[in-house]
Amino acid sequence: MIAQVLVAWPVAVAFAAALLGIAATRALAWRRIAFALDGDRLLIRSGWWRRRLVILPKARIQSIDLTENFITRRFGTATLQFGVAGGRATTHLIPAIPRAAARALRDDLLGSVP
Amino acid sequence: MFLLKGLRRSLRSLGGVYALIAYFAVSGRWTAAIIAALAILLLGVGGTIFYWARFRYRVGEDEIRIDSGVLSRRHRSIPFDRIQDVDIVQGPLERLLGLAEVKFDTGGGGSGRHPEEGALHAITLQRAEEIRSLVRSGRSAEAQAVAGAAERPPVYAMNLGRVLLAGLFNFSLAVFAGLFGLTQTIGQPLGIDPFRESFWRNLSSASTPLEQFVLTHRVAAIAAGVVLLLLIGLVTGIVRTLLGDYGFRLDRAGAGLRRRRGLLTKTDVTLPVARAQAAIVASGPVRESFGWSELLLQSLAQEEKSRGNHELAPLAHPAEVNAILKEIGWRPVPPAPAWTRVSPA
Repeated sequence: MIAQVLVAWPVAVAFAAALLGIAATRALAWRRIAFALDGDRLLIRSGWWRRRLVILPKARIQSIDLTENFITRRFGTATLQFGVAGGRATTHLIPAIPRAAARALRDDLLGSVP
Repeated sequence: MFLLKGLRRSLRSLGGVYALIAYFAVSGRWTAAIIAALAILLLGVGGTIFYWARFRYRVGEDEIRIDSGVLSRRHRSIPFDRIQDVDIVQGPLERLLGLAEVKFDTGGGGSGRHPEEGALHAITLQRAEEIRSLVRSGRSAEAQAVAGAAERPPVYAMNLGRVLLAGLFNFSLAVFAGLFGLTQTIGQPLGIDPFRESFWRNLSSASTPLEQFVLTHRVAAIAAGVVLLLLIGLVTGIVRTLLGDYGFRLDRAGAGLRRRRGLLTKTDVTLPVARAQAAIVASGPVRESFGWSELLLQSLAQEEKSRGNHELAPLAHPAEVNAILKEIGWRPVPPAPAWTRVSPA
């Protein structure tokens, strides 16, 4: 029994290290996620190891989804998802913005559609 | 040439039979394996010959007609104004023979279930370019200007050094999977298995000089193995990038950007700018500290790989990225936008 535990501990350590690594990467990425309105386009920045900056012209936004699940509801945030032409595989999203800010952003983007 | 290509494709699609052949071979039934292999080869060659004999294409006034198929015939007619653009692809063998493959980009449906149907394999390069300019002139008169445009300096180009550097960054992370696999297989006879507790105990209890010698030998073996794997990962990344992005250049071409790249397989595609949906500037922590990033264009037009995002620049400085953006009529990336962070929740 003790021998089994002794054998298992390197594996457990490796596993824990991996989990920690994943969590750390996620946290670092979280700090970088941000968006900005730049005139007629929306900039979304995301990720830490794989960094992306998406430049999305307002005119190209076909649909805006504002979603909340029961967890985000408790924290008062919402997720905005922007659809562009090309289907569901090509959406861009902003993960967690305070609900009021999300609504304001959505209204602003919707309002600017000619 | 068409024969070879078709053969390759049909051979690939018969993958399941390879398992059968392997089974035969492994279980000692050589004759059955050989018979099966020969049968596959014959079927493949025969099928391709028939297909080729019945494959016809005709370039009409304002459409392209392709008649293909042996048992079930398909007559496909693609009007010019449904063709967004024409891609010309040349593999190494095709380059030697002066041939090219022509693919018609029909904006979303072309490479659905039957990609071969909307493409012409193994026609001469000259004819391919003729078809392309014909299609383009059929679409809009301004495309005539493409033929007349002299060798203007490219919007963006990569020299060999840049391609190699990009290859360096494309370090293959499969290395670590390889490392793990190595320990599980070769490691057994060598006694190197980090997952077995006795391994570590042996490591720490090496006392006599003989044991220490053996120990250092083992450690050296591990270290050498790791270094070798790293080197392999590095070289693989560089070679793959070299093959894919050698001679990368972007030129302005009418209403789009013409991108040429490739070493063995050269591709020459024009990406329409008007259908661009979004631009993506991608990078990584190491790359960003050196100022490198990658520019992708999300567009409705198709792309051979990379799920729909066209690569405009694999490795570029911010100034170059902004130059490309300017060329397609977009404003450059703002240097310090007012970022709003997302909620910490």
